[in-house]
Amino acid sequence: MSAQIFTLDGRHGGTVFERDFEASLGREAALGFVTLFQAQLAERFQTAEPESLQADAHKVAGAAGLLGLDALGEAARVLEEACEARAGVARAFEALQIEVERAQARLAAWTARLAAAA
Amino acid sequence: MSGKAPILVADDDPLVRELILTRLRLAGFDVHGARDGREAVERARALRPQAVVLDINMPELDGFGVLAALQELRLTPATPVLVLTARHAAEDVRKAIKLGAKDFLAKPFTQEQLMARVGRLLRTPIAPPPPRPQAPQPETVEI
Repeated sequence: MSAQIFTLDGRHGGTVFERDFEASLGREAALGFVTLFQAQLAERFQTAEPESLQADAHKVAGAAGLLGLDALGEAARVLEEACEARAGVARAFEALQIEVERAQARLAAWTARLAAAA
Repeated sequence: MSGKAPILVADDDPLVRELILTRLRLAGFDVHGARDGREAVERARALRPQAVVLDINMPELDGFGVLAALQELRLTPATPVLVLTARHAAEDVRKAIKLGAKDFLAKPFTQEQLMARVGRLLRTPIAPPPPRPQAPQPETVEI
Protein backbone atom coordinates (compact mmCIF):
# COMPACT_ATOMS: atom_id res chain seq x y z
CA MET A 1 0.00 0.00 0.00
CA SER A 2 1.40 3.35 -1.06
CA ALA A 3 2.01 5.97 1.64
CA GLN A 4 -0.81 8.42 2.23
CA ILE A 5 -0.39 12.15 1.72
CA PHE A 6 -2.33 14.62 3.86
CA THR A 7 -2.45 18.35 3.39
CA LEU A 8 -1.44 20.47 6.38
CA ASP A 9 -5.08 21.41 6.89
CA GLY A 10 -5.91 17.72 7.32
CA ARG A 11 -7.41 16.95 3.89
CA HIS A 12 -6.47 13.69 2.17
CA GLY A 13 -4.19 14.34 -0.77
CA GLY A 14 -4.08 10.83 -2.23
CA THR A 15 -1.23 8.34 -2.03
CA VAL A 16 2.35 8.60 -3.23
CA PHE A 17 1.47 6.14 -6.00
CA GLU A 18 -1.47 8.31 -7.11
CA ARG A 19 0.68 11.43 -7.17
CA ASP A 20 3.40 9.63 -9.17
CA PHE A 21 0.79 8.22 -11.56
CA GLU A 22 -0.69 11.68 -12.14
CA ALA A 23 2.76 13.23 -12.56
CA SER A 24 3.82 10.63 -15.12
CA LEU A 25 0.69 10.80 -17.28
CA GLY A 26 -0.83 14.20 -16.57
CA ARG A 27 -3.90 14.72 -14.45
CA GLU A 28 -6.42 14.59 -17.29
CA ALA A 29 -5.10 11.28 -18.66
CA ALA A 30 -4.87 9.89 -15.13
CA LEU A 31 -8.53 10.72 -14.52
CA GLY A 32 -9.45 9.02 -17.79
CA PHE A 33 -7.62 5.80 -16.86
CA VAL A 34 -9.00 5.70 -13.32
CA THR A 35 -12.54 6.32 -14.55
CA LEU A 36 -12.16 3.62 -17.20
CA PHE A 37 -11.00 1.09 -14.63
CA GLN A 38 -13.87 2.02 -12.32
CA ALA A 39 -16.32 1.31 -15.13
CA GLN A 40 -14.59 -1.96 -16.02
CA LEU A 41 -14.57 -3.12 -12.41
CA ALA A 42 -18.28 -2.37 -12.01
CA GLU A 43 -19.04 -4.70 -14.92
CA ARG A 44 -16.84 -7.60 -13.76
CA PHE A 45 -17.77 -10.56 -11.55
CA GLN A 46 -21.51 -10.41 -12.23
CA THR A 47 -21.91 -14.20 -12.17
CA ALA A 48 -20.31 -16.88 -10.02
CA GLU A 49 -19.77 -19.19 -12.98
CA PRO A 50 -16.08 -20.30 -12.99
CA GLU A 51 -15.35 -19.63 -16.70
CA SER A 52 -16.71 -16.11 -16.43
CA LEU A 53 -14.95 -15.49 -13.10
CA GLN A 54 -11.68 -16.73 -14.53
CA ALA A 55 -11.89 -14.43 -17.54
CA ASP A 56 -12.79 -11.44 -15.37
CA ALA A 57 -10.07 -12.26 -12.84
CA HIS A 58 -7.50 -12.45 -15.65
CA LYS A 59 -8.47 -8.98 -16.87
CA VAL A 60 -8.47 -7.43 -13.41
CA ALA A 61 -5.15 -9.04 -12.50
CA GLY A 62 -3.66 -7.48 -15.61
CA ALA A 63 -4.89 -3.96 -14.99
CA ALA A 64 -4.99 -3.54 -11.19
CA GLY A 65 -1.23 -3.40 -10.69
CA LEU A 66 -0.95 -0.62 -13.25
CA LEU A 67 -3.20 1.50 -11.02
CA GLY A 68 -1.41 0.65 -7.80
CA LEU A 69 -4.18 -1.69 -6.63
CA ASP A 70 -1.79 -4.46 -5.68
CA ALA A 71 -4.07 -6.28 -3.22
CA LEU A 72 -6.85 -6.38 -5.80
CA GLY A 73 -4.46 -7.66 -8.45
CA GLU A 74 -3.19 -10.38 -6.14
CA ALA A 75 -6.74 -11.42 -5.14
CA ALA A 76 -7.69 -11.60 -8.82
CA ARG A 77 -4.63 -13.70 -9.58
CA VAL A 78 -5.52 -16.12 -6.76
CA LEU A 79 -9.10 -16.36 -8.06
CA GLU A 80 -7.88 -16.97 -11.61
CA GLU A 81 -5.71 -19.83 -10.42
CA ALA A 82 -8.51 -21.25 -8.26
CA CYS A 83 -10.85 -21.22 -11.26
CA GLU A 84 -8.19 -22.91 -13.38
CA ALA A 85 -7.70 -25.63 -10.73
CA ARG A 86 -11.44 -25.80 -9.95
CA ALA A 87 -10.53 -25.71 -6.27
CA GLY A 88 -11.11 -23.05 -3.61
CA VAL A 89 -13.12 -20.86 -5.97
CA ALA A 90 -15.74 -19.77 -3.41
CA ARG A 91 -13.14 -18.71 -0.84
CA ALA A 92 -11.04 -16.89 -3.45
CA PHE A 93 -14.15 -15.15 -4.79
CA GLU A 94 -15.12 -13.96 -1.29
CA ALA A 95 -11.63 -12.57 -0.73
CA LEU A 96 -11.73 -10.86 -4.09
CA GLN A 97 -15.10 -9.23 -3.39
CA ILE A 98 -13.63 -7.61 -0.27
CA GLU A 99 -10.74 -6.23 -2.33
CA VAL A 100 -13.13 -5.03 -5.04
CA GLU A 101 -15.05 -3.02 -2.44
CA ARG A 102 -11.83 -1.52 -1.08
CA ALA A 103 -10.62 -0.71 -4.58
CA GLN A 104 -13.93 0.91 -5.53
CA ALA A 105 -13.77 3.13 -2.44
CA ARG A 106 -10.20 4.12 -3.22
CA LEU A 107 -10.98 4.78 -6.88
CA ALA A 108 -14.01 6.90 -5.93
CA ALA A 109 -11.85 9.03 -3.61
CA TRP A 110 -9.17 9.30 -6.27
CA THR A 111 -11.55 10.40 -9.04
CA ALA A 112 -13.25 12.87 -6.68
CA ARG A 113 -9.89 14.44 -5.83
CA LEU A 114 -8.85 14.57 -9.50
CA ALA A 115 -12.18 16.05 -10.57
CA ALA A 116 -12.01 18.67 -7.80
CA ALA A 117 -8.51 19.69 -8.91
CA ALA A 118 -9.53 19.97 -12.59
CA MET B 1 13.53 8.29 -30.74
CA SER B 2 12.32 9.82 -34.00
CA GLY B 3 13.25 8.01 -37.19
CA LYS B 4 13.01 4.63 -35.53
CA ALA B 5 10.38 2.05 -36.37
CA PRO B 6 7.31 2.11 -34.14
CA ILE B 7 6.46 -0.11 -31.20
CA LEU B 8 3.31 -2.21 -31.51
CA VAL B 9 1.21 -2.88 -28.39
CA ALA B 10 -1.42 -5.62 -28.71
CA ASP B 11 -3.84 -6.07 -25.81
CA ASP B 12 -7.63 -6.37 -25.93
CA ASP B 13 -8.01 -4.56 -22.59
CA PRO B 14 -8.32 -0.87 -23.50
CA LEU B 15 -6.96 0.29 -20.16
CA VAL B 16 -3.81 -1.82 -20.31
CA ARG B 17 -3.26 -1.07 -24.01
CA GLU B 18 -3.78 2.70 -23.74
CA LEU B 19 -1.74 2.99 -20.56
CA ILE B 20 1.24 1.23 -22.16
CA LEU B 21 0.83 3.33 -25.32
CA THR B 22 0.66 6.56 -23.32
CA ARG B 23 3.75 5.78 -21.25
CA LEU B 24 5.77 4.83 -24.34
CA ARG B 25 4.51 7.87 -26.25
CA LEU B 26 5.56 10.15 -23.39
CA ALA B 27 8.98 8.47 -23.48
CA GLY B 28 9.30 9.59 -27.10
CA PHE B 29 8.40 6.44 -29.00
CA ASP B 30 6.15 6.17 -32.04
CA VAL B 31 3.51 3.69 -30.87
CA HIS B 32 0.57 1.83 -32.38
CA GLY B 33 -2.09 -0.28 -30.69
CA ALA B 34 -3.97 -3.41 -31.73
CA ARG B 35 -7.18 -4.60 -30.08
CA ASP B 36 -6.94 -8.27 -31.00
CA GLY B 37 -4.60 -10.80 -32.54
CA ARG B 38 -5.74 -10.35 -36.13
CA GLU B 39 -5.28 -6.59 -35.94
CA ALA B 40 -1.86 -7.16 -34.36
CA VAL B 41 -0.72 -9.29 -37.33
CA GLU B 42 -2.06 -6.78 -39.87
CA ARG B 43 -0.36 -3.88 -38.11
CA ALA B 44 2.91 -5.78 -37.72
CA ARG B 45 2.87 -6.60 -41.43
CA ALA B 46 2.32 -2.94 -42.36
CA LEU B 47 4.47 -1.23 -39.73
CA ARG B 48 7.48 -3.57 -39.41
CA PRO B 49 7.79 -2.49 -35.75
CA GLN B 50 11.05 -2.34 -33.82
CA ALA B 51 9.40 -4.24 -30.94
CA VAL B 52 6.06 -5.78 -29.98
CA VAL B 53 4.33 -5.95 -26.59
CA LEU B 54 1.87 -8.82 -26.90
CA ASP B 55 -0.86 -10.08 -24.61
CA ILE B 56 -1.39 -13.83 -24.85
CA ASN B 57 -5.07 -13.95 -23.98
CA MET B 58 -6.79 -12.07 -26.83
CA PRO B 59 -9.89 -12.66 -28.98
CA GLU B 60 -9.89 -13.51 -32.68
CA LEU B 61 -6.31 -14.77 -32.62
CA ASP B 62 -4.42 -15.32 -29.36
CA GLY B 63 -0.83 -14.29 -28.70
CA PHE B 64 0.50 -17.70 -29.78
CA GLY B 65 -1.24 -17.31 -33.13
CA VAL B 66 0.28 -13.85 -33.48
CA LEU B 67 3.76 -15.20 -32.70
CA ALA B 68 3.32 -17.94 -35.33
CA ALA B 69 2.23 -15.31 -37.86
CA LEU B 70 5.23 -13.10 -37.02
CA GLN B 71 7.50 -16.06 -37.71
CA GLU B 72 5.79 -16.66 -41.06
CA LEU B 73 6.27 -12.99 -41.88
CA ARG B 74 9.93 -13.40 -40.90
CA LEU B 75 9.61 -10.52 -38.44
CA THR B 76 10.93 -12.62 -35.56
CA PRO B 77 13.53 -13.16 -34.24
CA ALA B 78 14.82 -9.77 -35.49
CA THR B 79 11.82 -7.98 -33.95
CA PRO B 80 11.85 -8.61 -30.19
CA VAL B 81 8.51 -9.56 -28.65
CA LEU B 82 7.58 -9.16 -24.98
CA VAL B 83 4.60 -11.35 -24.05
CA LEU B 84 2.24 -10.58 -21.18
CA THR B 85 1.11 -13.75 -19.41
CA ALA B 86 -0.74 -14.93 -16.35
CA ARG B 87 1.59 -15.64 -13.43
CA HIS B 88 2.73 -19.25 -13.03
CA ALA B 89 1.79 -19.94 -16.65
CA ALA B 90 5.11 -21.69 -17.21
CA GLU B 91 3.79 -23.72 -20.11
CA ASP B 92 2.58 -20.54 -21.84
CA VAL B 93 6.01 -18.97 -21.41
CA ARG B 94 7.77 -22.03 -22.84
CA LYS B 95 5.39 -22.09 -25.79
CA ALA B 96 5.80 -18.35 -26.43
CA ILE B 97 9.60 -18.53 -26.31
CA LYS B 98 9.50 -21.49 -28.69
CA LEU B 99 7.38 -19.39 -31.04
CA GLY B 100 9.92 -16.57 -31.03
CA ALA B 101 9.10 -14.38 -28.02
CA LYS B 102 12.14 -12.72 -26.50
CA ASP B 103 10.89 -12.06 -22.96
CA PHE B 104 7.77 -12.32 -20.83
CA LEU B 105 6.12 -10.37 -18.02
CA ALA B 106 3.60 -11.97 -15.67
CA LYS B 107 0.43 -10.19 -14.58
CA PRO B 108 -0.14 -8.35 -12.34
CA PHE B 109 2.70 -5.94 -13.08
CA THR B 110 3.38 -2.27 -12.44
CA GLN B 111 4.09 0.47 -14.98
CA GLU B 112 7.70 0.58 -13.81
CA GLN B 113 8.18 -3.18 -14.27
CA LEU B 114 6.70 -2.97 -17.73
CA MET B 115 8.81 -0.01 -18.80
CA ALA B 116 11.95 -1.72 -17.46
CA ARG B 117 11.19 -4.83 -19.53
CA VAL B 118 10.43 -2.84 -22.67
CA GLY B 119 13.65 -0.90 -22.14
CA ARG B 120 15.55 -4.16 -21.83
CA LEU B 121 13.87 -5.42 -24.99
CA LEU B 122 15.01 -2.33 -26.89
CA ARG B 123 18.36 -2.21 -25.07
CA THR B 124 17.44 1.39 -24.24
CA PRO B 125 16.55 2.38 -20.68
CA ILE B 126 13.22 4.19 -20.69
CA ALA B 127 13.44 7.26 -18.51
CA PRO B 128 10.37 8.39 -16.58
CA PRO B 129 8.53 11.13 -18.46
CA PRO B 130 9.46 14.71 -17.54
CA PRO B 131 7.33 16.27 -14.79
CA ARG B 132 4.10 17.61 -16.23
CA PRO B 133 2.59 20.91 -15.18
CA GLN B 134 0.20 20.45 -12.29
CA ALA B 135 -2.19 22.79 -10.57
CA PRO B 136 -0.63 24.34 -7.45
CA GLN B 137 -0.84 21.92 -4.53
CA PRO B 138 -1.34 22.87 -0.90
CA GLU B 139 1.55 22.03 1.38
CA THR B 140 1.50 18.30 2.05
CA VAL B 141 2.71 15.86 4.66
CA GLU B 142 3.53 12.29 3.67
CA ILE B 143 2.44 9.68 6.23
